[in-house]
Amino acid sequence: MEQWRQTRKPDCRIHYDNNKCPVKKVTIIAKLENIWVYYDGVAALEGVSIAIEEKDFIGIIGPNGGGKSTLLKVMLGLLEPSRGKVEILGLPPKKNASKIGYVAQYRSFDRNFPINVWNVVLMGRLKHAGLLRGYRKEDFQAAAEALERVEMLDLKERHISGLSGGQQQRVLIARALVTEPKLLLLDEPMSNVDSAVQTGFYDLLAQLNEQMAIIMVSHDISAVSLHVKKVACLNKKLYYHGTGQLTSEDLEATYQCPVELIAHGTPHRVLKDHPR
Amino acid sequence: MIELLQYQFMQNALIAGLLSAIACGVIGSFVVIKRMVSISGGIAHASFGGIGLGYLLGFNPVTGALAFSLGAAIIMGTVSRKTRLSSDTSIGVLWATGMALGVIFIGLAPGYAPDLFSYLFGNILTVPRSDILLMCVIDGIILLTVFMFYKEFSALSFDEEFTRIIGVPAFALYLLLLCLIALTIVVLIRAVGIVLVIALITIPAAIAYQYTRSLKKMMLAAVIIGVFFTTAGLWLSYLLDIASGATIIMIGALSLFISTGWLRLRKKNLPANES
Repeated sequence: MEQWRQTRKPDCRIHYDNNKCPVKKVTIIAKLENIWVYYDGVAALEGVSIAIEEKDFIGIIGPNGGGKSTLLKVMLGLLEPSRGKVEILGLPPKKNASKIGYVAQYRSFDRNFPINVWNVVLMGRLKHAGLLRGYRKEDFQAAAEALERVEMLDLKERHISGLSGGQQQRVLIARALVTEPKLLLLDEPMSNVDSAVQTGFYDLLAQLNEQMAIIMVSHDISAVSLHVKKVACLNKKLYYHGTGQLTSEDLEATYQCPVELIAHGTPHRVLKDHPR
Repeated sequence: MIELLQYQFMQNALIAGLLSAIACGVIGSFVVIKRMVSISGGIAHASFGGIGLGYLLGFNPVTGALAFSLGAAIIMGTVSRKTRLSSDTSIGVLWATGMALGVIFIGLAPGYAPDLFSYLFGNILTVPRSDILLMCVIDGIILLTVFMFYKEFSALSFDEEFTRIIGVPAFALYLLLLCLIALTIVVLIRAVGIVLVIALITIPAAIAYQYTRSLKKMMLAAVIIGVFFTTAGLWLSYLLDIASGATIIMIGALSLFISTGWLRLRKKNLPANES
């Protein structure tokens, strides 16, 4: 553990006053300030603040009902917070919706729906194409590029029922990519992906992360902490230090019970000693 | 069959069947893939209030049904999306409210209500020329609107939340789609009646859905299947002297049953890795 700490570079975005770090300006992609959301008088989010910088890859973990989906809805502008301010590249979310790519939690959407891969991806260009007109050349180009990036262009004519869970998820990511977003929001992206192909999936996310910030909501603590750059815990309140390290105090506050910190594989970078 | 075509009422009935099949094939496909069967049933039954109002005030009951079904579509759509009331509840309440209004209006209307039974259960053999013209106009409106908003409607059916997130006016499009369903119901009232409408909207599209993998092909197949149902139902009802609307529906229901059973058998007989 000590060894790991030495090999890791100090995070300049956190330790502003640290002499080792030159003060560096980073672009803030999304900013949430003191967000409160109430459902029927019950708080779902309590004073959540977070600044998402370019090339961030943040995993948000937390228990069911902890407000993960609510937080995503606030970022997407689907839900107006009771208090607080949301900005996506300096604008309210509704005005900058195309800057966010969203991949919803896998619902058992109708696999027999009469649609093929190509038309699902084109759907992402619906707003660009505009009402009362068909898709144009640039829309087709964007769809082809997005499919290429998720390595699914070969299957573009395939009906969606002929795809595996992982392939479906790739198609939905491609649909989110066609507007060239600066921030990609993924809600439980691994829930329908076989563990055998999850590694390839994380490789894809790492590639995409070079061009955009990614926020991934998940309940899989160990997988998240292995692949993302930073971890946040959410249970109404957001515990976020802008680091990849989880503390057992945060986890306990989030899950309201002692949580065993276990991660598989190497490096065990989320593991931190905690008193027995 | 050929000499039957010489009769004006038979020609009208065949044209009405064709016009009904076009509306229910195109709109029925959306109803099936977006799972809007119960809301469509609610709109259909609520339109009975308009039939009653037509009797009471002495205008064409079909015009009253048009106004009531459009109103019901907009109210149900708004309530289900913008209030905490579940769409299930709002459908049930409006369904019965529309019918109750119809019963009250008809009770208040002086004298006997002729043709009432045909509005409820359809009588394709008595469709007058004026209603054929109205059906033509409505079919035109439906086809033109679907043509204009095809990509939005198909996206809305596949993933409504996503269309809203990317900034497409999903709610307005949803209401528009419901209004098209209301128009379809008006087209179908003469053929199969308010009570049976929902089956003719659903069955051709449901069978088409089992065999097609693109929405456009599904619509086309549903229209063809619909034409078959209305024509066969018309002929059989004439032959056996039974109610035309109910005959059309029975042929449809039987076809769906056979199709589903056949697909099930075929799937069973396939090797496991292919199914």
